[in-house]
Amino acid sequence: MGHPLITEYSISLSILNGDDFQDEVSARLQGVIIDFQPVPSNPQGDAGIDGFSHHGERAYCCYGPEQDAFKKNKDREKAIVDKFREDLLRIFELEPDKGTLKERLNTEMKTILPDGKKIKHIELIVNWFDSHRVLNPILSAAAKYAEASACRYVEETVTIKMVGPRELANQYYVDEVTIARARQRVLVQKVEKKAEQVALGSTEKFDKKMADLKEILPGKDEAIDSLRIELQNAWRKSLAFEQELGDTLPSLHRELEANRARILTKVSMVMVGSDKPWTELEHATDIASEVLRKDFDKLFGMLIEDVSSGEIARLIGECPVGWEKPVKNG
Amino acid sequence: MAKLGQPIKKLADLLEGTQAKPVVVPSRLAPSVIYDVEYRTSVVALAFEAFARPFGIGGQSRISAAKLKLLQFVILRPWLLPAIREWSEGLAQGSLDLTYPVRIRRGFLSDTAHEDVVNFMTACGVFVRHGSHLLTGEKSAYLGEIKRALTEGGLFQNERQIISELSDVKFTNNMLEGW
Repeated sequence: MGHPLITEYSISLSILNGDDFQDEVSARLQGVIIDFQPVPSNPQGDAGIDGFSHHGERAYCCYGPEQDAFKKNKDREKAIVDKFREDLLRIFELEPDKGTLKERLNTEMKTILPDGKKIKHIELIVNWFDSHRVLNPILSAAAKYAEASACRYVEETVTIKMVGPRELANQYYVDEVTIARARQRVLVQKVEKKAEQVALGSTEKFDKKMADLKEILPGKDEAIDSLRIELQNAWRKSLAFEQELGDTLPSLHRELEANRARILTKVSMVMVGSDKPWTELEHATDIASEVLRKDFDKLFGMLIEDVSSGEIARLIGECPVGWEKPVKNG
Repeated sequence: MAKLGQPIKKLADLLEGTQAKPVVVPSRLAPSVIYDVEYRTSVVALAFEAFARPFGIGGQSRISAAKLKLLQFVILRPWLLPAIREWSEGLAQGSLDLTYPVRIRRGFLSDTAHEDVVNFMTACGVFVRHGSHLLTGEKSAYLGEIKRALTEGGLFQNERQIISELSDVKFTNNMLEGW
């Protein structure tokens, strides 16, 4: 076993996937490579690279497949090979065509790399590198692409290296900030996953509120149905966060419980004291954020916004905050 | 991370301009059952009755305080059972490891609400502290009465189900050490 901090960071990298993995890798490289430049993929696409450094001479491609997406390692290996081959094809401006390779211009690349610069080295960073069997297919494909390509943006002699969580964790220093950031990301991902599985208990009163809303706002059924799903998702996230705290940090769970009461008091004060209560409701999430940040910002900063929205949705779902149909005169 | 939309703002926008009457009832805020002392006393009683072993010749029973703390922690959180099994069957973990069992360990170690309940029951004479163990005290008959009342009333079925499943799990020294 290596140094505990490196081991923990390596494990957390292997747990992360998708955008979370890419964001963490990007944050890590920005911290250790002075000119690391992330490449946003929206709106025009990332041209096959997720970042570059060394004046455009080093490029980085990231891939963080879901842990549970593959039944066998063989399937995972194939997905990794396919993904990086696809990135390399774009970098080399090629596409497969009936068993051969033909040119396919990568018009976005010239808007990314500095003028006159070509990529000399590519790092392929992946959240699972437990099999050497991905190496030959990727490296052999790269050699073939280099031969077939006009190499407008990449040197023909480009070197390629595959990097997994362990390698990335060992490559540069790991400090407390890195660990804290990784822990936050892992926690955020766990809460998100847990939220998908949370079953809402009794929802009769919430259903009644939604039915009332449809009566108050005739003709807006579609918007209300979509809102209902959003509120329930937010409510689930709040419950998932609470469960995670209860499982791993009971003392903070108690704080959350106390904060929920504070949020309700503040929200009810501003709503009851206003002649425009629904305008005040709009600010309820900000009120919740302000209350929660005091206790949770350091450990769960990334989650506060969603949890705040979830806490208000939960207050609506579990009944302390609601609405009634207007009473008809006569 | 997939961000939520802004459902509260959308809701406020929809309600704005309507005659809907706001209803705010702070008393409807349901407190978590985790802080209900009667509930937790009942869980501790059920766990003690199921897992305590006879001790000495005076007819007393005892249980490791650490084991009782871990047992009640899982009984209150039945979704942790698979992780507890994994922890029980796994090798010793490094303290900085991110694996789930280690995070649960951090969780149950900092469960101060349980300590409060045990202190209360000890003060009432239900338990007596004996080193790292809890022994039945002069008022321990309450433990049996609680169990009987819950069983006869068909109450706490989920908790009793978890207790029965926990009887197959081996609580190793590794799980209970270090506190």
